[in-house]
Amino acid sequence: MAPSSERLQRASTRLIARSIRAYSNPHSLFDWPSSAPLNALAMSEALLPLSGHKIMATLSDEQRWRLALFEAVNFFSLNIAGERELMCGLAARLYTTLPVNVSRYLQHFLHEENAHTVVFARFCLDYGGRIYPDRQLRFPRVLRPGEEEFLFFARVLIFEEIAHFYNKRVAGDDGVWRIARDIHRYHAEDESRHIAFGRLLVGEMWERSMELWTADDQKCIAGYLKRYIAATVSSYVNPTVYESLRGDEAPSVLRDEVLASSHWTALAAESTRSAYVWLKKIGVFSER
Amino acid sequence: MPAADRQYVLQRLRTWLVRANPEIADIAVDSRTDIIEARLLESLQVVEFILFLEAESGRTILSESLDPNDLRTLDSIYSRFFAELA
Repeated sequence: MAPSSERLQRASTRLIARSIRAYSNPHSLFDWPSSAPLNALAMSEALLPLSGHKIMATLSDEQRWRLALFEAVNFFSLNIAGERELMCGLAARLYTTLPVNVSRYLQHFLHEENAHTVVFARFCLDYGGRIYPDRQLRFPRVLRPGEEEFLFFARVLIFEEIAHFYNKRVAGDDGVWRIARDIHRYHAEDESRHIAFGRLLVGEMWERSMELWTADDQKCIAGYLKRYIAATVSSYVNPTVYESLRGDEAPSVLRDEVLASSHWTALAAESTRSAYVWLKKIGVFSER
Repeated sequence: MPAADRQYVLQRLRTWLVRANPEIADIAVDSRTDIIEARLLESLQVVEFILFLEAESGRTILSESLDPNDLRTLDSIYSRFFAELA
């Protein structure tokens, strides 16, 4: 079901030109402070999953600062893990079934994802002292014809749509470290191209899937993507972050309380909205 | 609080699987049921399941050191993550 429409090819040509104009060296792009800035938070306070939880009122300024730092480390660690899988998938698809022009764009996509991991890893290691481990594990399963290809690009799109929400919010928050804002802005600029490409590609793949899948197959695949969205957004609430608080409450208990909170429910809905809207628009989801 | 009593751990694991699969009315899981094959545990649930195992066992679990077979049955899960705590 490899898409090859003229629209996709024209979009790839435009995106290649934009990527060439934005081409940058991740090793020299930023002015890295020698130590973690103490006069601001590393992550927007409104985006902390714990915001709104009663524990926030009990935290000292130092604990609040550490919490924001480790939430930023969690965000970048999740992105390192996501981009690791994405880079493997993109590399495997270069000059295979997709049109040559699309493969040329995938080379920019791959380069940009690799550059992001350079920056994210430096942030995590220099200021947080660690990259959080990836807890994902994939079980092999039997897939329908074309399903692996579709799900790969659909997962990439969803992951990026959610990260994009955070990037845009943090990039515009003056209460956040300058280096963190700069990284989020840089990430958002690249991701806007990746998302434009992903939306078009996933839309075309879904349209072509009608020839391959029954209505029941499509329903199963849509159900999988809904569960993927829920799993992805839940991974933003990482109990390891709460170990930095050294509080009385077990991190896992705190996580359960966060997941049940109205603040988190609203934030999760907001961060996943654009993914839902697009998947509904192209007919993958019939309802939320 | 790490828990290592075998029957207690198996019951906690069963409870988690029931909660994670609300659409399945009757879940019959004995200690050797292949929960991956039975689709009671799919890839998308692994992160939540590992967080649950970490909270129950009191240990950090790195997925790069995991084999899917470690998570295949309640017996294998108990042996891998809880037996040495007993």
